[in-house]
Amino acid sequence: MTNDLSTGLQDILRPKLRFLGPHEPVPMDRNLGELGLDSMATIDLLMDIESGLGVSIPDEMITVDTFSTGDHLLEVIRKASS
Amino acid sequence: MISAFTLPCWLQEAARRWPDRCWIRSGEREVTFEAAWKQVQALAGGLQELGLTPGGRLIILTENRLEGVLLFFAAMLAGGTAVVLHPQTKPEGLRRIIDQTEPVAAVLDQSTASLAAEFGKLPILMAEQSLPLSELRPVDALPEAPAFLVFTSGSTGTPRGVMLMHEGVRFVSEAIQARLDYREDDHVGVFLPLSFDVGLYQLFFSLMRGCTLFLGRPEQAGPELGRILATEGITVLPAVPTLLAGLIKMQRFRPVSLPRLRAITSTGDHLAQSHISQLRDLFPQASVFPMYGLTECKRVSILLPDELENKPGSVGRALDGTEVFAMDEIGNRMPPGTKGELGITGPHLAAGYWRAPEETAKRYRIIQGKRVLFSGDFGHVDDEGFIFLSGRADFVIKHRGFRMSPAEIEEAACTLAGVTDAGCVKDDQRDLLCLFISSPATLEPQAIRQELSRILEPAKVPDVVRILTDLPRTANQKVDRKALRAFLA
Repeated sequence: MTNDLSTGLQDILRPKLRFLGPHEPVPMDRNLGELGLDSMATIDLLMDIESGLGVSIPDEMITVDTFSTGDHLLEVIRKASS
Repeated sequence: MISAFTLPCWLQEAARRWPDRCWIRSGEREVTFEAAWKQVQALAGGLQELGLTPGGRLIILTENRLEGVLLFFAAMLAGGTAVVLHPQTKPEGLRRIIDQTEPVAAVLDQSTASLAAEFGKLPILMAEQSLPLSELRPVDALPEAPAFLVFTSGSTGTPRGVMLMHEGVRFVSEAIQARLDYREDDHVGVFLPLSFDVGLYQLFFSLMRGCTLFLGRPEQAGPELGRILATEGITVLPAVPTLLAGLIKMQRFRPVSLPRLRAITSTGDHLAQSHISQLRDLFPQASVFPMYGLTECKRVSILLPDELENKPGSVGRALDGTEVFAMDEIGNRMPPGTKGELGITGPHLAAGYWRAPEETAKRYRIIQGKRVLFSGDFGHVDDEGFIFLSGRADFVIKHRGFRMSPAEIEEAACTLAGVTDAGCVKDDQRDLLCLFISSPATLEPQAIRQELSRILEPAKVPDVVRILTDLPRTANQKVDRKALRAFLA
């Protein structure tokens, strides 16, 4: 389950990271902004996470910090789905 | 101290009128008008110690932060010219700006510290650390020195610094406020970078009207924007269409009640009619102001809320005391309703481009004794003076609130291995920046974008890269950007 969430998140993230190389794994510890995620794409990301992974992220967790890295995001998703 | 008007006079006056009122909130911190004025004076003295003399330049390259604002005013108070740059400026562009402006010193913060090496031996102030403070010595302001420079993409892609003078900024700020009319009890939410004039001028408006600014960061203009607007009680939101599209999307997905929001202004790009009607539907208590402007004169026109119904698609009438008209190629005014390049006259015209007399002479021309700004925008003015835009006279692209030259993006693409030629156009329908390249080799679009992200600012990195065996060409063998549009569908 844990790995499923991580894989699922990476699949959602990949097409949104405009500056990621074609065959690179999604670097979960890097700043998503530096990988090309802008504020508009962050909104789409949130919507895709909620519909694709079946979680609802509480309002107070929707912050710049949550979307700073893949790892941060995964942690928030885990909390929200438990 | 200084006899002529300078922009810090507004801060001095605000400190006298509303000493204890909060001027700026930023993160956990806030500053009153009076405290800000005291700090600005001490910082100006500190900048003098550092060698800033009238006419000298100070580069400010930070995120939106309080220290950046205070040093911006301090530089002007010392008689200097402030240069506020986008924190995502790439090293190459920065080097060109440093070469052009020859600054006395620079202000950086954590987010831009990696660019420190570009400044060589120049003194660098780190915004998070203690800043130099000293007693301000009297200044003889040089009236001919610009208050600040705003850098914008020139038509060739070389960054050009638009020279804004104290008096011109005062004129246009007053003309804008005659339309937008900020109030003392307003809370203005700034989520645009201060390097962008729309963000920067909010500082002046708040000083003129005594209202409070919430100084946010562009990253906050994503999914959490609605919640910040609610908790901060934002009443005025200056925006670009992309930011508003995001707000609309989030409100549909997860609505936040924003009863205090009373005004939304939009500039930088075309605000679609559908977005205007959705904003009015979502925020019935808020007025929407479509506006038109370019850094070269800051603001051209503002459409008032009660004009929206009768003049759909218009960006409003020219600011009071200024004129806008459609022209033929040599600058003759054409009758109302006729399409042409828009020409602008008035005291709001900037002094030109910093150390670029040729480009200045091209854009600011004297016609029948009047200085006319050739906007580069096509459109017409109706018989009641309402302006309707219909596109660019050149190929300059407006995207995500930035103005950019396709030449700059194409040049960058051509430096990549395997790329023989490139053409860049914007897909306005889908708000996407599209790059077409030709290459004999097998290239991956994703790899091209990744490589471009190392040399171009994020907003200039194409959203879509398509590889063609050859690009359509004009008769003189240049890439035909018009023909490329056919590939967008």
